[in-house]
Amino acid sequence: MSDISEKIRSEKINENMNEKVDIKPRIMNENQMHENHASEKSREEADSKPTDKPMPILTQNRYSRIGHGIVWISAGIFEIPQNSVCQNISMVLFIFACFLLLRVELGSTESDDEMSIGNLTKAKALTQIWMQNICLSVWVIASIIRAMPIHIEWGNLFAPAFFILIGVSDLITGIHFKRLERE
Amino acid sequence: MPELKTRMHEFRKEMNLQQAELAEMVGVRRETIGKLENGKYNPSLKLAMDIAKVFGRPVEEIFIFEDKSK
Repeated sequence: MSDISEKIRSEKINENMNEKVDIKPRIMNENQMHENHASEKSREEADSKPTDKPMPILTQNRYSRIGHGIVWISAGIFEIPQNSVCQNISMVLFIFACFLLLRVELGSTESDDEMSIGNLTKAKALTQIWMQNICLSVWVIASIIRAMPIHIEWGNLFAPAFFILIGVSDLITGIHFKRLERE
Repeated sequence: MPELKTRMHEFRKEMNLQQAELAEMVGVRRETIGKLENGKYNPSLKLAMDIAKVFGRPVEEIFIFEDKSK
């Protein structure tokens, strides 16, 4: 009887020993998981730092073409009323346009590759077609207005029209480039 | 009109490379590699040669012209 009970006890001890041995790797694994989690966190933090990453091409496009175009169109519209408040606003907008361009030109930016150069060329070609149609439409509308008995100081509209056309050209290029990059 | 098929994805996985790593090796953006793999962009001869050099295989094994009309 005593032999049997001893055997049972020794078996139990062995089982416990095995369990103890098994616990260690489990603890190790948990520690490793914590370390992995910490390293992933630090990697994410490093990735989220804006200073290390060069500005992507689509962001450059957003600033230097789409944003720049919208600012020039707005500045052109504020030039139309010919009063000091609106002209001051348009001046501020032109300074903002310069800031947008400088941000792209002076910051660290992602360099162009053959696909982006090709897409920009396509976008510019499409813009040329659009601009020809827009200029033709503006000329037709202006001719109709001139035929009407309305007095308009056309000379005052020259500068705003110039700013708006530049803005529209930039904006159309930016929109086409974005569409081609995302296609 | 022949269509350009590519086995880039397959070879890249074989070499255990990320899109960004391959892009850096051949001097383009990650987006360009993505579009090449999806067949949405036809590479220039230089880019095709560079990619072939990275994979260590001939260009015609990576980029295959398929004529659908035949």
